[in-house]
Amino acid sequence: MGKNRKEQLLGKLDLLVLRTLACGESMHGYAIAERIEQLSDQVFQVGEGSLYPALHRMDESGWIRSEWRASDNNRRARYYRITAAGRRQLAEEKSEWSRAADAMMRVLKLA
Amino acid sequence: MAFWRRFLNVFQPARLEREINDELEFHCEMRLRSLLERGQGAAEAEVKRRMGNLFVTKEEMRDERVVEWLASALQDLRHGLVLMRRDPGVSALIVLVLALGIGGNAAVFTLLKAAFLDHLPFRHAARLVTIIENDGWIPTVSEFREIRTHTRTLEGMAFAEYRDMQLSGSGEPVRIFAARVTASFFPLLGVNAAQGRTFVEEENQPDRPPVAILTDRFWRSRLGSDARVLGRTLRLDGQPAVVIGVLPPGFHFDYPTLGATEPVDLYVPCPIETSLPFERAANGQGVPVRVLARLREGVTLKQAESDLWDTALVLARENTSPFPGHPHDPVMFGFDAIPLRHAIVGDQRSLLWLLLGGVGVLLLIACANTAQLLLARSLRRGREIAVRSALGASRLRLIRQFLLEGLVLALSGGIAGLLVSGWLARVLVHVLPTRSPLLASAHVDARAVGFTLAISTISALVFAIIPALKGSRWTPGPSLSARATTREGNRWRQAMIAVEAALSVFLLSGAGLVTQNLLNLISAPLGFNPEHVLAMRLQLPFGKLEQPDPKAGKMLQSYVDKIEAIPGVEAAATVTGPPLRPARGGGPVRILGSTDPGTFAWSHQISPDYFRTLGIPLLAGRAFHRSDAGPKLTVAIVNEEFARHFGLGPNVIGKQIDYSDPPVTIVGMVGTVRAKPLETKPDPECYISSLESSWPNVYLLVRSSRPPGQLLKEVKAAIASVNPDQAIFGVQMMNDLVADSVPEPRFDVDLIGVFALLAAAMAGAGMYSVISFLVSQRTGEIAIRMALGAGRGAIMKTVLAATSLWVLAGLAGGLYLGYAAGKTIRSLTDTEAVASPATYAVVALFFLVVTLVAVWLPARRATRLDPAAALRCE
Repeated sequence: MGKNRKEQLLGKLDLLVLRTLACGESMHGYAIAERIEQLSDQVFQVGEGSLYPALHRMDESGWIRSEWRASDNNRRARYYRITAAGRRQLAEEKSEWSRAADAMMRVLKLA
Repeated sequence: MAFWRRFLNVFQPARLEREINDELEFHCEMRLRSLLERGQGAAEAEVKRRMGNLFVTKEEMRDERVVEWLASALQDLRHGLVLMRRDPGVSALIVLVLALGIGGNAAVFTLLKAAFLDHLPFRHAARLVTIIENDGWIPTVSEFREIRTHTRTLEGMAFAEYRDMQLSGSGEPVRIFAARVTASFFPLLGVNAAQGRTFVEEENQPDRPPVAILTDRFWRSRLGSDARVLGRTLRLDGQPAVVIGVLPPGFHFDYPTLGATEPVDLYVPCPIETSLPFERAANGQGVPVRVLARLREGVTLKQAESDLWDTALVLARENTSPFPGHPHDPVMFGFDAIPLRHAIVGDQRSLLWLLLGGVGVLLLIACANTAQLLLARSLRRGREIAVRSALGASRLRLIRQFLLEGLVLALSGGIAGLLVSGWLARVLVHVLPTRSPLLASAHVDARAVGFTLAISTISALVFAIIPALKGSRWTPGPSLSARATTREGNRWRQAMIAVEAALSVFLLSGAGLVTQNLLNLISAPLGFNPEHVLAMRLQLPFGKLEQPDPKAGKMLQSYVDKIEAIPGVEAAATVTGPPLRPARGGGPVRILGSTDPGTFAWSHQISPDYFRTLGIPLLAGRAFHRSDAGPKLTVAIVNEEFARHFGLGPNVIGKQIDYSDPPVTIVGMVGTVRAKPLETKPDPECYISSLESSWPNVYLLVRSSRPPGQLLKEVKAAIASVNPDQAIFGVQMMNDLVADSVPEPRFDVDLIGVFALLAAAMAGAGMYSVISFLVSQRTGEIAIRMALGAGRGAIMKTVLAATSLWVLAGLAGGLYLGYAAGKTIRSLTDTEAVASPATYAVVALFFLVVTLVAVWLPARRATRLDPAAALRCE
């Protein structure tokens, strides 16, 4: 994945992750990736190469919290959970995204 | 909070690594399982494809979790440590040199701290002052009394006066060192007795039964920590004195700069006569005492001084008698208040600055040498730097790496230096020419540690900046090829030799100056013969010490008579101040009937055989006779300088001087002797007969060619036959007294000499290594020139010209610095000497020889090489 494309995706990836976690349950990285793919009907295939650094960055920013727990199949896994700050961030990014999407749609319709 | 966690993560790389691995491994396993469930082929390859570059992902995750700059700095530090271990010889050398430089600075810092920063162990120490007359004399008891009556700005006024006393009663009488104080002395300093009590006001009245307070040291060493010491009676100066207290172990107030030449054994109350007339210390009258006082709350030093000035004006107006026969200008008489700390540090201030200058220059040279070594090393690492830059390291990051490597070295040196600094400071205090309780209290504390770390960091910046700037620059082609750009940084190298040469020449010329001074002092003619003279001190155990006592002269003469009767004794005499020892008195003297306004003359009270005992030539008139005795002064003998001052020569005989009332007749003139150890300029001096006036505190001189040990026994026996209570002390051959009379100049020579030699050795080694390195760089060029037919001489000339220019520049700079600093060094060391041109010539020669050898050896090697071989080597 080229540097430029990766950076383009960054904002979107944060939004997708936060939205996925916004349901409230704690999830590990693999589950988050699977859920995003499912919800987007396989349109967004999340590269692990960008997912995990993004998760750690958001953890450090305080948008999400992580903890080590036993998974369903009794393996130790890192679970992520959204925080209040994360929800605020989500709301902000969501409105920004929809504004951008609306604008894009308007431009496209005009064309 | 988050920063803190990231900060801690820097130091737990293993834990971080494990967590990241676990997380990613879990992910891969889940992915693999789901792919297998779906029955996809080549599942493992698919997992790897989706994961991408695992290495980069991990790196990115790690970067999110740590404080990035700190983590990379740590990495650089580790790199620095690895490099240190890679060439341990050079690293050890650098650390050693830096430890010496930084340790020296840290040691001097602890001394400066003790002198200027550390808390003095007295109550309200910052408000304590000592008072002196404005011409430097310390006041008399009567001046103390007057100031205490008049002052509006000072409180708790006290004084101390130090003197020898005899302790007798058990065995041979011994001499002890005592301080006579006012009752206010201990409360002023905020000290209570550990046992018993301190003095009360009434005990300062005359004719009270004597009492004494012991110092802890005296109580332990002399009285064996006697538990029932209170109430015990000691025989002091032939009188019983009752011990009323013992001081706490931590209490010392015996600073040589305040007149306590030795540690105090005990304190006694000073009897204060209230009826005594007003006396001025400058006139040699009265008992001079060290006056202490505390500024009242809120009073500034300025206010106290103007208050003292007012007091002095009143005193000068009311009392004309202290200035008999002299036109007196009241403005010339005043008092100064000096902060106690200032007074205690005294002239040791200049010693401290000398030390600081010396260690400062040493550290600079150490930094220059370290910079040279690092520069060479950083240029050898050209390829490593090129590779790192190619992999994306920025220049800034490279510079930082070099600086951090420098910091590792400097801190290692700093820590080593800190470890030795306490010891170094103790050694310095130990070798000081004078005892210094203040500096002896120097210790390493948090501030010293902070200072050491700070100078370590600063020196790292100083010595690593040039190697960092030079070493971090690279050009793709040559840096990556095997041939390194070794010419880089040559100009800096040469500039640094110039600096090193300048700094060490500076110290060497300082050393030359103080050596010259010492030579001047010890080679100046003495004016007397110190061979075969035994000197000792004694203090008569009786008499009012405030005034010359006519009984004292007779008592002393009876000792002298007994001693002169010992077989083999050629002559014996007493004197209040022998040559090279301070005079006990002195004052302004005028010749009656002369228009000359008079001069200051030292006075000595001598017994009749004094001149014969010391071999001082009698130039005119006569010496004192036995018959020059009586309750009043009638005759005096002057030295040649005195006569010269009044333009008289031998005609001075028969003149009268206003030494006392009635005037005194000059009956003799003797040769001038060296009066002061630190000056060769002669002073006018007067001698008066001890049978007419004598202090009870004198030197006893015995001329005899018999072995001193045996002689001393017989002298003691002779004295004991007259007075069994008489203690003698300070026994020394007159030769040794002369040799010991210049401890400060000797110390200056040793101190600056050691600094200068260390500096010269370091600078010489640095210059040698750099110059020979520069020359060996030119091996190829030299080979080509040789092949083209250049003569060996011509090549030597070219090579020499290139480097000696810098060395000469450094020498010139150093000589100029030495010349410019000469005045400072002279004032710091109380020196009048000027370094001779020969000193400078020797110093310059030393560096020229170093340069020649450093150029010659590698150049000779180069000229002897086969040109083809030399070129292939390149």
